[in-house]
Amino acid sequence: MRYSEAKTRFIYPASALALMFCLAVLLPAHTAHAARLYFDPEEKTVGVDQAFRVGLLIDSLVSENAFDIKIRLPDNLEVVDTYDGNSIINYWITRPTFDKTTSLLSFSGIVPGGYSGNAGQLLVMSLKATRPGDLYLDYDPTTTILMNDALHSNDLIRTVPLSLTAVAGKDNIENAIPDNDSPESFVPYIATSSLIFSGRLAIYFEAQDKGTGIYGYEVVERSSPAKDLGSLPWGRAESPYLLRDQSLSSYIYIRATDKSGNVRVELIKPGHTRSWSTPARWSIIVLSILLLSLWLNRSTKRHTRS
Amino acid sequence: MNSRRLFLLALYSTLFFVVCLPAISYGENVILTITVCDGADCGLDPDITAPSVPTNLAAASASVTQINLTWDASTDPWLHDGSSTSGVAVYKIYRDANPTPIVTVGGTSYSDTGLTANTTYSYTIAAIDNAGNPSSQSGSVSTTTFTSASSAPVPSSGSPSSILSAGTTQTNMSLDTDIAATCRYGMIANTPYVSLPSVFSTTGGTSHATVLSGLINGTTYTLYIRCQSTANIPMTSDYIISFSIASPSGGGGGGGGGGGGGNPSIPTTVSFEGLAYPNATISLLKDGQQVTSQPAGADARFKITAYGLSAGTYTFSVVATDTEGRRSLIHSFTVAITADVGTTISGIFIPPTIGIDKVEVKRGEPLVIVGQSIPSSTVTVSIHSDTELNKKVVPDRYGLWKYILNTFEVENGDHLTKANAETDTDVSTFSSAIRFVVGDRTVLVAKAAARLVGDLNGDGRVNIIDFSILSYWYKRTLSVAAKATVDLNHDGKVDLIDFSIIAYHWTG
Repeated sequence: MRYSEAKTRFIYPASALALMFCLAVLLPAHTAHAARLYFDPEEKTVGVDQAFRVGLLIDSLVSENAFDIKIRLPDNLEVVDTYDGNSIINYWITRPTFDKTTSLLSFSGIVPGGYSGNAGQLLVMSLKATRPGDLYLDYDPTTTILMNDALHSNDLIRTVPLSLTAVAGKDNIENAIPDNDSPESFVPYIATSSLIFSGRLAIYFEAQDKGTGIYGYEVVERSSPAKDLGSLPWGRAESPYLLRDQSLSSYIYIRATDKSGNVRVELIKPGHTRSWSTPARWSIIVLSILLLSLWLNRSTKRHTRS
Repeated sequence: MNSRRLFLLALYSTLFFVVCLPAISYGENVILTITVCDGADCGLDPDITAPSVPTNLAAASASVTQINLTWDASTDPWLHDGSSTSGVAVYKIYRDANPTPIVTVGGTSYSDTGLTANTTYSYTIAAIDNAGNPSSQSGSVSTTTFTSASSAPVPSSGSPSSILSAGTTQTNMSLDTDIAATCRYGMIANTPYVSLPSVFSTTGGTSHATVLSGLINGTTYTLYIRCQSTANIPMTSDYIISFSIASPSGGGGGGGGGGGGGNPSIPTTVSFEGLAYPNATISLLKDGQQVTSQPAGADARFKITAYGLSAGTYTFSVVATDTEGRRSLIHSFTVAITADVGTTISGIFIPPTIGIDKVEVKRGEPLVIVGQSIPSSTVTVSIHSDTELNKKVVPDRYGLWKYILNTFEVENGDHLTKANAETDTDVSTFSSAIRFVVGDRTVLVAKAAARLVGDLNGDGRVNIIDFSILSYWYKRTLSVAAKATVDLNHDGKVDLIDFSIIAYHWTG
């Protein structure tokens, strides 16, 4: 058989079949993903025992609103800190935490209304290599991103791992994130719900910090206004926070602190109008009407007797 | 209906109920085919009866080139009892007493496009039944297309124009335009409208104002302003406002030197502008919390601005509440803010609102689906069934739209409906999806009792309080009350899906 004949009879059909196979196998794997999760390192070769930064970014063609991310780190890598100040996530279900036993860095949160776009920053990690060698960062298979749609579908995400090299004697790029700004002003809400704290009054709050991110919250309840906020007996708090003074006659101070130590204090003055739940509101209105009619009834009778 | 037809109908009905029905077991699928034929094929008398004249023909101007028509369906008394519409095939629409119809349509609405601005058109309509019998033409209605703003705005009364007293650090800059417009300003002459960096904080009408801050003594400021009409026709030359801040008198003290530039600082702002619904209330959320709200215009256009920002990444959301209290889905934007820059995000097209009159509907009864969009749009109502249905309706002049679903068109069971809007140049995303059930009973929507999905504490909003309640129950064993309320997808636990539901229905 001549070469040209063989090409026509075997090579062309075989090539076509191979091409079809590749298209069948590869195309769905690339086109089915609406979102891509990837790392953005400051440098690919890092020095040992020095911090360096790696961003975690997302490109998404569709709107995503809930994130549960788990990053698996190698055993020669330590987490120095995490910065979520410029994250696209607005409300954190669990703030970033590293579990040494599982080597997983995990966080979860939501974006009301959803996020779509390119290079959306989820987190910045400050990491440190403990010995020279390869550093491989990957994602736990349970990493989940949900779409902002009526079905709250689990999106198919393409996760892109990261390979770095740690060497001795190299100086890493400066690691500090400049942050001289206080957390943004925030509005704490007083509300009751039969679902928590047995329907007792609690405050609900969430501050945003566009620099290093929120470090934590503290609350003080006191009977008089504070003259020196710094000397108050601040106590660590989380939202929702059950109020000790259920009569709402206290000054309530809520302090948000970012990871650079900048603070923002919000005050709820005594007698603040609470955000009543609807049943509570109606109960009070009905009770007030009952009491008023009883009082009117009594006054009328007295007048009649006299 | 003549006596012969009545007899045949009674005979076939009796045969069906006496012979066929007893032979069908419970649970079997039954396909009942009714063939509607004309008189010749059936061996019956031909239909020579005209359908009723279409009623309530209404014409509404939707733009400079479009008029929307709606009318009530005609009835055809030949085959049915006069209350049905299935005998009517099409409607012919006549314009300006011309004997040739401009179009023949199957539905009960039509958008007449390609018209001339500021011109009055009159319309009549006639129904044609399946046998080809025409009704008489309806009474005539007429309306006038919107006036074209064919020229660029002409500004006047610019202020300030004098020397302001020493120590003035901020001032209100204002001007008027002869027609409604949006005005921008900058410090460089001959900059096209679209490239001017700052937008007046109050603009969109005929009076425009903004605050300039960071002013310095002894400096002359020259600002170059251009405005664009609501018909998107911009000024092609600058309108200049120039003023000075006086130097402090006396006080000696040296120099103060040169001072170059003297640009007033531009506040760090983000503005959002686009289309919602006529007279809707627009709310702006910053990172999930409401910061401001204001009404949209009668033409559905809105512009809303966030102030007091610092450099960083923000999620802004725009949500519209229509004139009947229905809320749109929130429309979110993640924006990287640069300090001292006014950013504008334009071209926003808020999806329609949507509501239904029944949560459960007995098969055969109509389901009314309503909402609001922009008047010049076409709304596509999508019904997710075994086979997806897409129906188009045209909103009235107030943007209100209505579609009556014939529930015979869908299977028994759960369905979702949602809507999006389309103009000549743009398509909105879909509205929220509403669930309804087609079955063997009808349950009306209880307006007073309706609670927003995700509103866990019943305060009429889905916000940080609901998020915190959900977070409290995250990974905890649910109480009976909590299971009924916080487990939003009823899978026995609070997990990421419940948080996703809260984020989707967020109101701030």
